[in-house]
Amino acid sequence: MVAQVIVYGIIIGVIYGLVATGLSLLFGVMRYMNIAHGSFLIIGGYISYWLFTLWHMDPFVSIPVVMLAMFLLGLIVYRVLLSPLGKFPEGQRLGNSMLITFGLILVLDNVMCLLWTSDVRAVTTSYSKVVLELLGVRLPLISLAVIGITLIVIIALHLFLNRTYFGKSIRATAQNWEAASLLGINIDRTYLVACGVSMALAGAAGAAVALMYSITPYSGLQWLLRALVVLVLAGLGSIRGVFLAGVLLGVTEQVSVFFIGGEYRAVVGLGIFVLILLLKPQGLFRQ
Amino acid sequence: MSNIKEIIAKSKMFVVGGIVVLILVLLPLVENIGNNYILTLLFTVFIFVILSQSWNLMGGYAGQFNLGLAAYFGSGALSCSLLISVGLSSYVAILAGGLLAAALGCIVGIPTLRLHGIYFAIGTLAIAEALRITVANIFPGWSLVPSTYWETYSIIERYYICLALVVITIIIVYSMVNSQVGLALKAIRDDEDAAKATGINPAKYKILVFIISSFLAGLAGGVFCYFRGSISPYHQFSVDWTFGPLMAACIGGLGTITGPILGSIIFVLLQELLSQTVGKAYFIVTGVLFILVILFLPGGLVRSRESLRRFLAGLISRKSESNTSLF
Repeated sequence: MVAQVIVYGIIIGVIYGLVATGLSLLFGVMRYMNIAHGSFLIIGGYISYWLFTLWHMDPFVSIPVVMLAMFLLGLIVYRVLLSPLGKFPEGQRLGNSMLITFGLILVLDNVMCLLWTSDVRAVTTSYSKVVLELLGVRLPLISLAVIGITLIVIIALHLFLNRTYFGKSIRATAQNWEAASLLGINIDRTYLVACGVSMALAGAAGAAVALMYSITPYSGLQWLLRALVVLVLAGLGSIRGVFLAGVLLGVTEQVSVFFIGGEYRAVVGLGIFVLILLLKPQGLFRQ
Repeated sequence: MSNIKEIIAKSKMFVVGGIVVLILVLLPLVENIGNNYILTLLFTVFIFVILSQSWNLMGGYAGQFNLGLAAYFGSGALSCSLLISVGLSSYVAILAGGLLAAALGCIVGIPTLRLHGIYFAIGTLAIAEALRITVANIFPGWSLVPSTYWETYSIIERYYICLALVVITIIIVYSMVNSQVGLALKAIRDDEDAAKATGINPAKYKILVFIISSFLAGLAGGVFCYFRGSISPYHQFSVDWTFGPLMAACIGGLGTITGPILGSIIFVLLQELLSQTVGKAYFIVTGVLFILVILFLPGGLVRSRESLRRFLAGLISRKSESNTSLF
């Protein structure tokens, strides 16, 4: 029973990690906080849902399509909303990025509600109910597949950031944008791509959420809060700790659901989060 | 010279403020205007003015983005409704709501105000959400006041109470901002380390302002409950009550007294007009308006003349210099 709880915790924790990775990338590179990350996740979920419902596209096959669409959306968002922030003095950019993306939540959530009503939607495939059993622990097939996909996405991101020239320029910009720009890196383009990648990650997470749970136009905020918790647990701007922190949060939540009951699931996570903020604001996994 | 100018500007402001208050006081006495619709609309504006002034005190003057305002509004409303149903006099209940919210602010503020910048924003948001879920689990559904409450219901009395609270709020904020405390707050906002070096204790001032801000939000909650007669803890704790006043304050102009007032009027009127014509899409319109103000009118509508002048000056200098662009 305990093993089962922990396994479920790990499964949901992997999703939390994936949601938070995109947010962390954007914050780490640009020092902008995208409050609307949860809403972008829901958009990704809707794209996956409609591809499945209208064109019967398998949700796993459509993940690259979702990510590409979200990448392009990210480019637009950067050009229209985030790049004008550059004109503000450096101290005000973070606050203003939060305000702007907050306004964006209102716009996106209500546009989605107008377009697709506030019904709860979920992608249900023919193999959604398949469950494997291993040593008495039940493992839903789709969650195993989602974990697999997540690992592939994360490894791809890691390779992109560490092995490609462009990824290295993103990391250089994250460390010190002034020095990077002196070395001939085009900061604007780096930010543009980083924003796109961040949105693409949100899209992948959204597809996973639509497949394993459900989406409504207004559920973005709940996922954003989880992602913020994970982000602070890992230490703001660090991408490496995010996954571990996500799994930690997922397991703690599941264990607390087991002991206290489902209605306080979010409270436990937020409580731990406040404690960590107070005791170790630099994050758990930061040297 | 500048002193005299300042005094003239100040007395002008007092006169204008006095006239506005006088009009608002006399308004319910006019036969046709004293109907429920206009008074309810004005009441909503008043609640927003109190809340956005409260947010402005933290966010605009002290530079601390408190994303948990709804928790203090909600706890004021909830405790007021509980106290009224116990049988306490309504005025005492409203005041008690404010005091309880202030106490909550003290409990939350002491640990969270150690956090800086974005950590403070995320921390207050997390605590408010945790409170909302907990309260909604403990008090599901609507919290109603006893039926005797409705027998003596008078909308004009409630209108006056709320108006009085608005005036009190503005006086509190005005006198705080124009005292040594206000100077200390601005110093903390602009550079906390430099403020510390000049002998200001940031922790003391921040907690003081946080408590006053949550007290005001709690009062707003109390009077909201008194006006409506019934509240739903789940809705009164929802983030809308943080984000609405935040938007009103930002649209009007952070760090000013008139900004949040102007912003609240625009915000509520816009909401009223749009929700009658385009329905749900009014969120989209307000969201777009908010983004536009942040991007193109930094400092809000109150400082729009300045922004416009700077924009025009920028256009002229860009033409004459044709410099390489800073990104």
